[in-house]
Amino acid sequence: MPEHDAQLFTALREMWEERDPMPPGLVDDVIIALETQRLAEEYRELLLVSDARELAGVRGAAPRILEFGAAAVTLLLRIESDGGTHRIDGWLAPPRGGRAALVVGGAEVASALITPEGRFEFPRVAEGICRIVIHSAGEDGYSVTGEFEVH
Amino acid sequence: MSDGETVRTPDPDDPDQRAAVDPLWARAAELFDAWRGGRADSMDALVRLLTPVLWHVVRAYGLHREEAQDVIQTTWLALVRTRDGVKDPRTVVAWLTTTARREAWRVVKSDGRSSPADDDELERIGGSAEPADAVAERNLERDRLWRAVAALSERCRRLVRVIAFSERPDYGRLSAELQMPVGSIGPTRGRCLDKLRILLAEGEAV
Repeated sequence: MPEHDAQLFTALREMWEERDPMPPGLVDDVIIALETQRLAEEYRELLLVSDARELAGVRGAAPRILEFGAAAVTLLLRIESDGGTHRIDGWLAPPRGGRAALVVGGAEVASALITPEGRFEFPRVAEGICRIVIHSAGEDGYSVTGEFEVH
Repeated sequence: MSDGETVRTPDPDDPDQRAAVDPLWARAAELFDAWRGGRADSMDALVRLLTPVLWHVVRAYGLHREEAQDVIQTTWLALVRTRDGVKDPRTVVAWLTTTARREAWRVVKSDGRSSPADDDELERIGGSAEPADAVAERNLERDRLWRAVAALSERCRRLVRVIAFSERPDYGRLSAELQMPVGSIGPTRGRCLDKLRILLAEGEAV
């Protein structure tokens, strides 16, 4: 581009940048819109596949086993209850590390590390309607179980 | 822009040439590639890099500010959806500006608008005055340039703004949208700039 044209274009660019600037919130709006779309596409609901109690042991109530699944993910939850407190052990297959969140009433009440073997635990869970959200390491989006009641 | 005459007509279909002469293209290609490779934050960086360019390109079509924002958002969403539809990451800038221009053009036409909706733009004249003398002087020059640009034909104004912000737009695609033959874009650009210089000189004389 000839030098004098280049100068004129520079002046024009500066003029438009000053007189008709991009709205300050536009970049953030775009990023939020992309993120919202990504989450909508990446969100996977893990559906309850089975809910069974292990054969009763010699004493006390038997642990309950919940199995959740989506296309390529299986999540097993073992819920052991002792009086008013409950313990959830989780196992994710195929195994992968990450973070598990315990959500009660729409709010995250506890968070646990998922080991590379796909295991995690919530040692003390109160009674109530729960969901577990799985954020796998190095992966966009997340998986969430359907609601289940701990009682 | 000291790259002289040689880069004036790079082969727009050769991404190697484009990426080599245009740092914006090269950076955008890197980010887009990284995003496709799983780096989610690269998309944010790409949005920050190219949204300002898209803004001016879309506004060149005379859309209202709100319409322009919608068009830009639609453009980015389309990029994320198509993902692998952009065969060569080095063409991502062309893909975005072309998609944005096409969408802007669609909005303008669907509205049956015959002239650009730049009323809100014109209202901004003189609205940025600051007290300092130097700023006032610069504002005077900008005002003169602004008035000269406003006196250009719509087609010239659009062409000049698109070229100003996309550096070396793809003339093949641009020709369809500006409804002029590819071969005439270069000369038209020259005529538009000549006209602008005349208007500027007249403005100076006033």
